[in-house]
Amino acid sequence: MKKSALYSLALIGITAITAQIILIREFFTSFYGNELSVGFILAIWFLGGALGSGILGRFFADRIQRKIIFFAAIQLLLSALLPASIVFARTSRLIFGIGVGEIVGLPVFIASSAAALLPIAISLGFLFVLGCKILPAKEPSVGIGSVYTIEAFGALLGGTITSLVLIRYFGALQIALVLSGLNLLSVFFLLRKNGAAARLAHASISLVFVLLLFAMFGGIEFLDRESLSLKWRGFNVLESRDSFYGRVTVTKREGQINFFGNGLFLFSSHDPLAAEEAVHFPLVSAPGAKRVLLIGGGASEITAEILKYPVEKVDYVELNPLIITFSKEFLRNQPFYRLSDPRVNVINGDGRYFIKNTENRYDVVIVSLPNPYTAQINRFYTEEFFREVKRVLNEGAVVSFGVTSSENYLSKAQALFLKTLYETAKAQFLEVRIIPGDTAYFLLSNKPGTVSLNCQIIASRLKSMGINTFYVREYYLFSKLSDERLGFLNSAIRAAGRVQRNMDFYPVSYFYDMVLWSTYFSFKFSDFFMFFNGRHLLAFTALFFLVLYIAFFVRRRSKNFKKAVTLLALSTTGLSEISFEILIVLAFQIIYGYLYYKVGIIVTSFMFGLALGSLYITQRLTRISRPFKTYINIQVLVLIYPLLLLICFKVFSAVSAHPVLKGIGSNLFSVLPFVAGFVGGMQYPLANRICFERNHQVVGRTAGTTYAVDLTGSFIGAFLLCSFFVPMVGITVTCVLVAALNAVSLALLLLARK
Amino acid sequence: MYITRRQFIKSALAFTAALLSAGLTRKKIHGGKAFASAVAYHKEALHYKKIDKNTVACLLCPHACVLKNGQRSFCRVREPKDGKLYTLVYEMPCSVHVDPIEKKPIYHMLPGSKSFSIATAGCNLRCKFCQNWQISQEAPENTHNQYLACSEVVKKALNYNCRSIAYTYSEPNVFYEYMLDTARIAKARAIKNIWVTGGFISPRPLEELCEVIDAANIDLKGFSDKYLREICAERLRPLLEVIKITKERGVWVEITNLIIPTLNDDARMIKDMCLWIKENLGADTPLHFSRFWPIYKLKNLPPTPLETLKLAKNIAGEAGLNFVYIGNVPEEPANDTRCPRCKKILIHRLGFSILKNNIVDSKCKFCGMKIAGVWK
Repeated sequence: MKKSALYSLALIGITAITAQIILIREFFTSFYGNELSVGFILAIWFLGGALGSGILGRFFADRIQRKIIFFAAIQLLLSALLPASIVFARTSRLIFGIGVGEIVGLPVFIASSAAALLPIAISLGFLFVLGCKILPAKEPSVGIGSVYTIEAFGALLGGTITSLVLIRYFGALQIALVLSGLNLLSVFFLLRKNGAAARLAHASISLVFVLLLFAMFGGIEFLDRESLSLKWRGFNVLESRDSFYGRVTVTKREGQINFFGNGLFLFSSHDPLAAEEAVHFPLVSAPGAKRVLLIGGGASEITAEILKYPVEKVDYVELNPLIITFSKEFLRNQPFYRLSDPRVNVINGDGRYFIKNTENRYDVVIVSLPNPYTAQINRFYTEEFFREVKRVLNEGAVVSFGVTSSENYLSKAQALFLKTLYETAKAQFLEVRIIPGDTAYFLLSNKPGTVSLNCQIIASRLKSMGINTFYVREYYLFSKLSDERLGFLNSAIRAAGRVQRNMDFYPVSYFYDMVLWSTYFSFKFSDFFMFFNGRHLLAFTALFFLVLYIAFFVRRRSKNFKKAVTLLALSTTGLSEISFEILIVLAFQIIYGYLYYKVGIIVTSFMFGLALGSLYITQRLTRISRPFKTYINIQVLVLIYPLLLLICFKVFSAVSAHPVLKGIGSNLFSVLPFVAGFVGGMQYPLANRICFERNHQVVGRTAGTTYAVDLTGSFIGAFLLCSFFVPMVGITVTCVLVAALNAVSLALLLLARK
Repeated sequence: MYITRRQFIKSALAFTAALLSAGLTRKKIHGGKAFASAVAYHKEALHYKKIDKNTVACLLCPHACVLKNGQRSFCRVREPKDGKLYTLVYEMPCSVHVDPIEKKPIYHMLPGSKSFSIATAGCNLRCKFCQNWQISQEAPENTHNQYLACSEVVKKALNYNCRSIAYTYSEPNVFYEYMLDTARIAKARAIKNIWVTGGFISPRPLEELCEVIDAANIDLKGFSDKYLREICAERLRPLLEVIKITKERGVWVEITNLIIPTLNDDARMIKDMCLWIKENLGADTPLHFSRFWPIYKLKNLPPTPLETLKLAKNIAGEAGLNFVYIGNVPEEPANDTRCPRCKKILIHRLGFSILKNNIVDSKCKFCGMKIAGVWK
């Protein structure tokens, strides 16, 4: 019994983390995937866990007689829900009547992710509490701590295998079905000797065989294909696969091939306008360019356009290897395919990492990436990035990038967005010119006079170099670069008001991109964003901290005060832990570039710390004589940690160019999350010990409450951090705010000590 | 009635002062770049019906909004106050540019000339692919507007050597009063007026407009009521009626059909549309098939495949239409005007530029066939 219980409990952890990884990806690609949506998905996930443990667990776990059968039944349910939710994610657009390629408003997005994620997350939360009831333990708090530890180890195992192995070789549906199989097996092991429910055990083992047969006869592929073609109805889906760096989908319609990254349209096999604009403006400004660096976009017609010039070498850096693989597969016969040209050097990796480390020098650098719609992509639009780019430039070189704009009118949000980028580029380059249009192209140079926006000059240069174009030529430029249109753009940007520069640790452009995105919808939450930007958000947060402190302070004489502040500290730690994880991953990418394995190690190291921390304290739980004092000490660590993190970020960032210190810093980054996990892991079991009497009858209530409180903290943290704090006040201030929140908890804990 | 000289001077001065101050206030309100809210209730709207002292019914377009005082219309630019309906965008454009006439697109009128183009905020449609959504889907108080009097529009058009004024970008029907008054002045100064529209307007205001408009490019976004309703918040029947009336009133009409993959690229639908155009507007009506580019709410839908556009052109040709173009794809030869009789190239275009014009005195230079259009 104990062995099968252990297996089942570890399986909760494995299922939870794996489902989280694959479902976030699935929803991210089904809807417009900016970080705001990731924040929402994570929040819904933690909210579900909190509801499952805090309501179902807390009120029902202690009353259920046949706990094991109930536990197994939920696992059975879970094994059906997992694949169903993947299919639902793919078909939800159809259900809500939203067309392929259409951007969805938040209400529909939230409704559909909640419909798919909540049942799973609620089940998992409930299972945790039930797990605490079925694991035999002398001391209730030790039992709860053990379940927490086992689950954490399960999550460590599941997270590592899924993110480093499974994602690469298997589709989401396959992984979901493997999880279903594992859960069915767990049902079998739990119930096979249980007379009353042995039939259920046999049914579940039969289902495992059915699943195997289903898989053997191509059932999974069929389901995968059918659900994908429903998602992309009207298009022929040639391929849709995940790599570490996200999903790449290739579709075809009427002979035109289209590439999508994480559901966002990247490029199609026939779009000369986009390619010509991206290439000719910078290259015509740097006549005689020999070496070109292209970050992203090289699989499209861009490369062919570059090779119209007498360049010697084009280094094309592409993060997602699947884009290269699929280009070779599907675009090889297209007239513009140039990736096999000897002058083109395809480099698989992160552009920022490449620029930091290369010894090459370039005459033209073209950044062809999407808008800074995530903090990750924002790294290519910051002042630090422009400074790094400057290092790899030859004299008179030109750097260019394009972002969403509007040809005939600039809204306030649009003008602010362009202005942050303008001010940022201007801080590093002497000359910054913007070409108006539905995509605004920025041209940066350090030699004044390099970039000319005179349509006659551009046209005559193109002519003298013998370069043929369809769009970038007199008739088109005449209207596009008219004095009146250039003047209009410049005056709109000038009038946009004061903005901050976009920095690595203060991603302002990412924030304005989010504001711009929100103006797509008639529900004007862009006004809300604009209001809460910067100082208002800080003032509001400070006020909230004050109110929180006072709300608890006035009840300091009440009987339950100690319990209440313990739970408060638990929730603020839950919030802090998720923040630490997100911030460390983000900072690592900023300082060293995006290296999937390193990011994987950071997440693994965090979970390892969490599991070890809770194991360490659970083993000593009965021996700790003054648990509240230990709890306070841990709280001190949670308070200090974000400040320590901040110092590490600053120091590592400062020495990131140093050959030796760089290596040390990058390795220390794997230790940082371990410490965070360890400290956080210690607090949960201890909270159970402090708060509740040693009564086996209320294990469910105890575990339900504490787990729900912990997850509520994570829910608020994930939501607020991804969506508001990082883009609005930056990483540095976010760290300080997390510390301040923990200071409130600490102050209240000290108050309760007396 | 007897009036002393002193009294006369006094009242004359007062009258002048009042006039001046009115002018000044007006200047102050409009001075530089004011927001629309500052000039709200500036101009009483045309085409509405007073229901009671609190309610009016706007009769400008088929949405026929019934509005209480202070309530905003569907197009976001009309609002009643004290039982009168006002337009909030009169003489307050937010977008003013000079474009080639081919960009509208108008191919059979004054080729190669420039068109002075204006737009205000607001629209009575909700197209998910709107290129100008930053103005069309906004209320005027949220856009950056400039004061530009009707007479000033005409003056500027002349200064920029524009031979026409285009009411375009967003939906000109929503700035109907501004368009009408400007067009009247322009007409008197021999400047052509171009109405670039989604065509969602009621017959009565349309008839009034047709008196001053020279050419119209009307979007027939799809030949399906379901498509128009779901993607654009428009209806097919009233739209077709508008196109017919406009043609009947002697306005030069060109039709644009933006083809969006999976949404309105059905060959059958395109054929039905072409047959309708031929039957109701005549074979000489230019039809522009336009390529969709991912934008606004359809940002993740790929551009229209070239094959689809070519297929559409063939369908239109087979249906008997004489002038069918594939817009915004300069790499395609389908941008040229050919003589329906001798098939020779009449106007050779590259994008918005005219490389060659073989129309002389409204006739084909080669075979003498009269070519439909406004060439002078």
